[in-house]
Amino acid sequence: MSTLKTNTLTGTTSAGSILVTGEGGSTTTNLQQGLAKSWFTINGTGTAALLDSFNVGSLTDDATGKFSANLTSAMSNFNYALAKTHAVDDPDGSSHAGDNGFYSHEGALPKTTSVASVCSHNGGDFADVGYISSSLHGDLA
Amino acid sequence: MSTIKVDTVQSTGGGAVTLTKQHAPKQWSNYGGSGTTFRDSFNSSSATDNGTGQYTITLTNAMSTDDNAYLYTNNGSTSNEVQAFTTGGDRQLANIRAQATGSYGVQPTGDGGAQQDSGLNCSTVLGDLA
Repeated sequence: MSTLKTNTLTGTTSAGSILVTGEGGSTTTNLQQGLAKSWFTINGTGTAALLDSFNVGSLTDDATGKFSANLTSAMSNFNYALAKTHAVDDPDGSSHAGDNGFYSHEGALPKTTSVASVCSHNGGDFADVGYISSSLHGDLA
Repeated sequence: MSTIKVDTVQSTGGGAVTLTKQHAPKQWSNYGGSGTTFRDSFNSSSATDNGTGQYTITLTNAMSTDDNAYLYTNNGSTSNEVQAFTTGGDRQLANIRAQATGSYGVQPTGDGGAQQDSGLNCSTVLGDLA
C-alpha cells in the first residue's frame, strides 16, 4: 500500500477535472463531479441554527417552515441536484409525523447562492422542524 | 503547501483509490416533469418518462449492486420551476422504486396518493461502481 500526501489535487489537462478509478477497477468517475459541493443540517425549531455544515456561511430563517442556507462559494448555475430530508421528530421529542419537506425559493427560481427549504405539516400548514438535512451536487462557479 | 497535478488517480494495483474520509456520489441529475432532458447531470445516460409521475433514470456506468443509497427530492409542485407554496397545496411525496444496478425509478405522488409530474426533480446515487 502506498499513501500519497498532499494538500491540493489539480488536474493536469483541465485543472478542475481528475478521474479516479471506480471500485470495480475498470470504469472511471470524475472526482470533482462526484464531490458534494455543500451539505448542512439545520435545527429549525426555536431559533433556527446550523448544527453542522460545509460551504455554508449563514442560515436565514425566512418564516415559519422556510429556511435559506447561504453558500460561501456559489454554484455556477441553479441546475444542481439537491437531496433533502427532515426528521419527523424534533430534538425536544415532539413529533411531526406526516410532514412533507421540499426545497425551493418560494415563488422564484432556485438560486446559485443559497438553498431554500420549505417544510409543512401533513395538514398543510408550514412548520418549523428539527434536523433538516441537505446535500448539493453540481458545479461550483 | 503542496499541489499534485494529475489527470487520473488509481491505486498501486490499478484499482480504486481510497480518499480519506470521502465517499463521492456516483450519479446525480436534475430534470423537469414533462420532459426527459437533464438540466444538468453526472454519470446519467437518459431520463425516461413512463407516464404521469413515473420516471426511469439510466446510468452511463452501472453500479456493482442494487444495494445503493438512492436519494430523490422534488420541488413539490406540478409547475415547472417557478412556484409559490400555499398552505394546503403544492405538496408531493418523493418515492424511489425499481432500484437496479443500471437504472432506478422515481415516483412523485400528491397528497391524495395519485402520481403527479413534478416540475423539478433531483436524484442521487451513492455506492460502488461496477
